[in-house]
Amino acid sequence: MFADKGRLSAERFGAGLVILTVTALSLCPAPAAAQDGAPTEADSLASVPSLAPPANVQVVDRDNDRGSQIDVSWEPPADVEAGGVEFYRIFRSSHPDTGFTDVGRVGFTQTSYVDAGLENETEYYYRVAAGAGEELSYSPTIGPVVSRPHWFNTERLNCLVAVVIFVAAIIIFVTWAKGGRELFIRRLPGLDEMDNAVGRATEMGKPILYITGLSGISDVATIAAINILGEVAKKTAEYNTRLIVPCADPIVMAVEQEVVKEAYAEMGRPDAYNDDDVFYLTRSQFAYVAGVNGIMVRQRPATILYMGMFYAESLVLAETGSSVGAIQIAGTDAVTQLPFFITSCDYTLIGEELYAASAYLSREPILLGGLKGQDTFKFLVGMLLILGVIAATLASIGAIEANFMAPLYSTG
Amino acid sequence: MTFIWTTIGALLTLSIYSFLYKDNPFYKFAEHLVVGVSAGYYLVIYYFNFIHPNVFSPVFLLRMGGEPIGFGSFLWWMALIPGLLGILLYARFFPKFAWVGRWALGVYVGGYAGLGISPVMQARVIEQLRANAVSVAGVEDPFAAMTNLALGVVIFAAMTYLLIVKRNLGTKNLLAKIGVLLVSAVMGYAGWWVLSLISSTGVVSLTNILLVVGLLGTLSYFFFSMKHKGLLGGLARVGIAFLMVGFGASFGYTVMSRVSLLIGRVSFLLHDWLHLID
Repeated sequence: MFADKGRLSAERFGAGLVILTVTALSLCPAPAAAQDGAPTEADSLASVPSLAPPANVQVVDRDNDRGSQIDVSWEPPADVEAGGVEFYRIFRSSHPDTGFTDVGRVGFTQTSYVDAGLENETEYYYRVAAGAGEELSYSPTIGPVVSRPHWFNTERLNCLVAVVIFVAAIIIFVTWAKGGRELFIRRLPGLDEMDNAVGRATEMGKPILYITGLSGISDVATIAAINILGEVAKKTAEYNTRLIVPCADPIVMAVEQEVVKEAYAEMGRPDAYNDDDVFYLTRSQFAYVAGVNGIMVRQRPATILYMGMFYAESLVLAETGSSVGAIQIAGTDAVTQLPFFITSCDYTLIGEELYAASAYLSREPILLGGLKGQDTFKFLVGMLLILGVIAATLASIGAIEANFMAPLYSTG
Repeated sequence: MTFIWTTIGALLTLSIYSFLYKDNPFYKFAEHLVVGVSAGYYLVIYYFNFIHPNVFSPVFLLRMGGEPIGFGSFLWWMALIPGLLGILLYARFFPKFAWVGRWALGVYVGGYAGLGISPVMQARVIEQLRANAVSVAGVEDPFAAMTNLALGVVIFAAMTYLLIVKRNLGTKNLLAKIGVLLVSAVMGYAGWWVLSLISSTGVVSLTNILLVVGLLGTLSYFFFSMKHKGLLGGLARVGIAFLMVGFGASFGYTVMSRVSLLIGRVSFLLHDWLHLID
């Protein structure tokens, strides 16, 4: 070890200084981790004082996280000439004097590191080493520091405010709707045709096929589709038309069975409800397509409704439906599938029209209030967008110092 | 042996494609086979990926993710309670107790809806606002930027008025209608040309102007509380135009990916099965 350091010193200062350097090194106190005598990776690495250690090392629990993370930051060594430091290495231990292990390495341009995967409520100690080649220069041991989970992410405050405004708007409109206030919703042609589509199936004596896509119950589109299914089921119960609902998800099937059964009961036709008409087919995408296509060509439904989340199966289903002469109404928020439905269906509910559909069909105060609340929020978002564009434009041309809208959009 | 399985796969592929002709026994066989096999396959997948590691193993074997857990511990209860809720779903087979199954559905639907609020607000509203609240001006010359921005706004306002509001107001004179359309077209073209010219100088970002106008128009289209007339009607028309352009692009792009699926099947038949192509 000494011989190696002596060679390095000799290259820099000349052979005459070798002895002096070796003597000085032998008199210098060893790093804290080495005093203990326990061999660690950090201890085994050479430490050369020609490289100054990082200054002002700080370790703090990371803000706004769910724990297990500690922020380590430092300042570059002040007395080191440019290019002297090639990297920094971060060492951690649960004891102040021993057991330091290498937990990370960053380039010389970085002055911070996030140490993740830690035990919460455990004390940790850190050392940061500036390095060049095989040389390392350690900072003093810093700590202890403890990571803790945080209950509230202050960087998401804007999200909370937005949710509160959104919910408040919905509650206000629901209250108004329940109080009997008339809430206007513009005409949605696709939904106006729903009555005609059910009536057509009734006149032809053929069933209606209702497909809610492949997504599970966690998908907003599926929930919207189930809401619409309830309204369609009321009509089919009223007209005594058969409603077939093949499902790709067992939980969705269970919910849809409940919804359809309740709709039939509400219309005073619980006897007309057939549990076997709302059934599980398969979870596999193209197996589901094969099964539904088979139902289409054999049952020959007069009306097919596609509501929910769809993937590559959309065009195959809609083309087969078209080939059997069914009137088809689709509604989805799957942007990539909308073009296929638009080209192959008679009516298509685009994106949010799907969410509005259940309120439009049922006219229930809660759903209407929700829809009006969404519209109010959309209006606010539009206004914020205009303000944001103005602020960004003024900031970019230097008319104002900073974009005053930026904090509203920060996402943490 | 491989050849036998490949041949079975190829024959089933051809059976499915026979649907293009019409419904037939081969298609029916393949359809029922794939539906049945996939349903059974997913049953096994669900058991080993979800039920066994998340319910059976913690509750009965007292292990979660390979780590031992204590009987009656927090993790044990966290496995047991959802498991019991899942079992409640089977109450539907007993009509007298079928209502109990709604508890599980209530927890499931309500839980997902609640959990979804914050991420959806974050990802679909705040992130989108941040990404779209962009500067429509360049940075070279502030005075020119403001002047050209004002010019651009005036041109777009004129276009919007002539193209949409004026048409909505309506005129019974055919010549007047043609005149309005012609002027609209010329103004539209001129506006586009001027904006392109300005954009090319780097003073105004045409892309960002299109982005903002398209977004506001699209938002207007999905505004359900008012009739689409007047300014709102005009913006909604702009929005639906943007939507259709977007759908057209998406259609072409997705069709190409569908063709690649077909190529995959044809490759399977001609390469893997018949070895006719390399």
